[in-house]
Amino acid sequence: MFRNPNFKFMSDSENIIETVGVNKVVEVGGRPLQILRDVHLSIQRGESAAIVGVSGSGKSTLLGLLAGLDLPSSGSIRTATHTITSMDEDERAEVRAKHVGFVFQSFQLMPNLTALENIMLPLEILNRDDVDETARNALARVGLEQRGVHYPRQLSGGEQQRVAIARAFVTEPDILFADEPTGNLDNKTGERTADLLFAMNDERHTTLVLVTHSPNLANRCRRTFTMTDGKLFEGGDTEE
Amino acid sequence: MSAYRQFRFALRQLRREWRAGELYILLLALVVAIASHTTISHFTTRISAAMATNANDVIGGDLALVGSRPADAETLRQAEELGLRRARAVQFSSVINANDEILLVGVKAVDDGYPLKGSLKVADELYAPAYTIKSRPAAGDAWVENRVLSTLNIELGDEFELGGIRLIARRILAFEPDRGRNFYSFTPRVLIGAGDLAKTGILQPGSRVWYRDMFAGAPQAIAQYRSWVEARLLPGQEVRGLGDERPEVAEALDKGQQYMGLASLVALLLAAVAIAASGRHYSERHYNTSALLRCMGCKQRDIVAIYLIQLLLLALVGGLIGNAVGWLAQSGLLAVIAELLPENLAPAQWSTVRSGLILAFIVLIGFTLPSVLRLKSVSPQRVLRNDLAPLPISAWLTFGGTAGLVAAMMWYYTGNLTLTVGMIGGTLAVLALAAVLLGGLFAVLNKLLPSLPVKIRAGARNLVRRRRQAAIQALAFGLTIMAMLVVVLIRTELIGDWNRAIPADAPNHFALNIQKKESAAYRAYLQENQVTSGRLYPVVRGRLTRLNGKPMVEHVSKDERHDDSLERDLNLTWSATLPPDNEIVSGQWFDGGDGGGGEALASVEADLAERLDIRLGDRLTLFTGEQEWQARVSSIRSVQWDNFRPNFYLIFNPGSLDHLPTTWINSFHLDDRDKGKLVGMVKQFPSITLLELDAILNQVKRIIAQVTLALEIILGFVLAAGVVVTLAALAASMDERLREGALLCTLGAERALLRRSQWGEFATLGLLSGLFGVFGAEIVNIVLYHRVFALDYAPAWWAWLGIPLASAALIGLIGVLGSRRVLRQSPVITLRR
Repeated sequence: MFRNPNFKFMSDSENIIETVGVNKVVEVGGRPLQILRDVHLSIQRGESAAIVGVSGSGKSTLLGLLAGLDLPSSGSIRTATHTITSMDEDERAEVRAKHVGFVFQSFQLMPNLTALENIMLPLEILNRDDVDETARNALARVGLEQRGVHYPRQLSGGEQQRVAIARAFVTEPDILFADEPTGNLDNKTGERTADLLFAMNDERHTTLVLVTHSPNLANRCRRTFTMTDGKLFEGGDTEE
Repeated sequence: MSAYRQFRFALRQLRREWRAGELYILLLALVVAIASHTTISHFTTRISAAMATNANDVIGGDLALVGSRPADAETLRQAEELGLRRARAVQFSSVINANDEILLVGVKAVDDGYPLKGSLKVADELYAPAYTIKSRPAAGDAWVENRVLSTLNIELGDEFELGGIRLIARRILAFEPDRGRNFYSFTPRVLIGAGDLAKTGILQPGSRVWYRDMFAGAPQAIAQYRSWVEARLLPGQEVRGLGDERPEVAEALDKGQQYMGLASLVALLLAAVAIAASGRHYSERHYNTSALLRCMGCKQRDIVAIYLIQLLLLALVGGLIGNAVGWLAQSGLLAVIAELLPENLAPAQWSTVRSGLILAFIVLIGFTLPSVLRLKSVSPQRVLRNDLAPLPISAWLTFGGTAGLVAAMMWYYTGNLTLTVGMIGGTLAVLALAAVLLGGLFAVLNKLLPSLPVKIRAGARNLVRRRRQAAIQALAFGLTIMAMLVVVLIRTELIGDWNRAIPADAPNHFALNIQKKESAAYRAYLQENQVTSGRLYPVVRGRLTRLNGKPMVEHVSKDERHDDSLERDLNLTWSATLPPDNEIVSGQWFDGGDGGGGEALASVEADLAERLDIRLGDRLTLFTGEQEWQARVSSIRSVQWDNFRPNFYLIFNPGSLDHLPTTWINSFHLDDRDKGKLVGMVKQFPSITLLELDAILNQVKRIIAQVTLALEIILGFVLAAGVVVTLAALAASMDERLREGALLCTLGAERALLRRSQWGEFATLGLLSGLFGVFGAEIVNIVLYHRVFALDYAPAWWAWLGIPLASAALIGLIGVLGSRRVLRQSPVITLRR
């Protein structure tokens, strides 16, 4: 894997996410398969950006790389002022804990924790003092204050995603990564969930990066990027 | 995270998982595993220690130093230093007389310590019930066998002469605990106090005297003392323990203890299987959790630390609860059967508690941590996509290491390498067979799927699709069945073996001195009174003096010069047929060989032949009364001494002893309620000497009954543990089954189809496991039967057919009952989980 720790980013401006020449190659059945090709991307603090593209085009892979969940085969990534491509897994975990929140298509709530406990979890990892109160407030913010003691299986899909959104925002991250946040919900619920996501994003001035198939959702973001065969273009075909 | 924060976080997560019901199965499996291990361990250590101690009742102490000279001062001092109790008995033959009648008797002078173990029994009237007595004969008193009274024509309270003193026959001696194998000695016993011995003036330098110094104490001290004494034995001295004096009792005890060892080993194996099956499920369910925690910023080492802390806590809790349950179970069990058990049960041992705890940590952490460690090397993104890398080499090494540790524990706690190797061999055989058979089966099944009848296709497809899980379950069930089958088969064989050795109607009386002219009338008396009896054997007394013309004392080694068989008259007999329980080791029985052609032929008992170096074709010279006569050794023969029938060192061909004075001997069985028939017998045949062996027989029967009871209870425990392990393994796969069932329902599958598919899947699983189990059990038994339990191995053919079918039915039933929820629960609820 090629990584150059001395790489200089283009500017030190307000870019909270910046990638230079990112490539990702994986081996499938003993053959190399290039998923990302020379991706250059910069997103400023407080911006919202949608990454669209057909299934398998590499959107989610890019999201994972931006969040430091994985490393590129080559190129550099800076997330929340940290050059995460020159960090080891534990250092990247620390960046995630302090600066990043996630919302997933399949919610990814812990089945053995109640709604409230799911929200408490990231606060506990950060060792915050006011875990209980902060989590309760977050739950109230998504309108589920009455459902705190319920387990995920006792909640509807929309409710589960609202808990996930509360959990993502509760640590007041600088960046929120959302992977198809409304993909598992019906139109109406999806719409309401998106409203909540954007509303909270505005309140907290969080940078939002979301991967989606939904033109509606993409259109609500300030910027749109299209991924085609591993290449990223600004703007593009949101009618896909 | 700091260590403190990791601990707090781990604790909090653990509490939440417990509340959500995620830990029940794992903890249940752990508690069952530890409880069955500790119950069996407590039970066996407490029982076996007591049984071993009590068994030594039959030799009057834990150890005896016997020989023609007493233990010297140094030997006694050493015993004292080791804290051993001691007692001495001095035995010799002498003549007593009263009323002008004389009688050759075996005198035994005992000190106050005698017997160190077991008790003397006496009676106050002829043929009256005997009772236990703590005291010894007082100065001037003697306790005598009833035939002393009848032969000398005296009654209790009368005097008789022994050497230079007159003694009063005070009580009838009914039972000496250390009489041992020589229970039908021809010379009746006279027991006196050690203080009267010198006064008799009989013992002079050169007198033939037999000293028996007995010692009792803690097993370790006895073992230490034994090796100390053995290193400085003088010629003519011998150390004897239970195994030397009463091999049949020692053997039953030894086999019982080996069996208990086997049972603890099986419990360990079941524990490992239970945790391996449900622990894997536990850690796999936590992949997602770990991935999520890492997305949220948990570091790799935090994840490992959190799980390690959780596992340590779980192991501690499971170990403690398991220990508590085990302790309660064994106390309850012992309380329920207290009447049937030895009184002096050893207290429960801390070492068992410790081993239970250690086991909890080893199996839980060993079988679950490797899966957790996998997460370290997988990117969180890949974890989120359920796209896990295969188990790395190091994890297999850890599994192997854990299995190795369990094996080491098996060895450590049973102290028996053969047992451990046998069990591990069986386990490996099951693994190998499973790998080959399952691999082939799944491949074939996969190919056949499209052509299978629709009715069973769903079940078969389930098996193929879940092949990894199915393989693990088939292995878990297979090993469980193997363990249970081994325990059942060996128990059945052992108990059968003991029952054959001492049947309910084993002879409990010996009739000696039946005169030739009385023998026909005696037979008729037995028949009239419907007494079960063995055959009548002629008895000729004779002393072995020369071998191939050379005096025996010159022929044998220095150690054997004082062999009991050279110092006394032997009971000789003739017989046309080989007595039951005798087996020719070399040479030929009289009917198969040359028949002697008028020459006297001898068949020699194998142990005696070995001790005195007697070989086929050797010429024996014997002395009977004033007559010297000879015989040629034509066969060597093994004898089962513990069958309570007359047994003989030397048997001759018919006709060869006709010129010698002969009496007859017989053994028969009488129930307690028929004892009255003895009186009639004594009246009709006054010259016959009757020996009652009930006390000795009951000694052995009691020990065997206790060992058998212990075996049965342990078997019950192993079976119960096996069933719980099976349930735990099934419960572990329930989540996935529920989900699949719901999915199939949603796709329109009828419940009947689901039920059939479940039956098909579980029954196949049961059939395969049964096959693996029988195969493994046979492998284990090939090793254990012969090498550990001295049983003849024969394949259990019935098991090859019966067990797989029974297991198919049983696991099918348990599986279907356990999966009822799949059919009952609404698919919507399941799919939303």
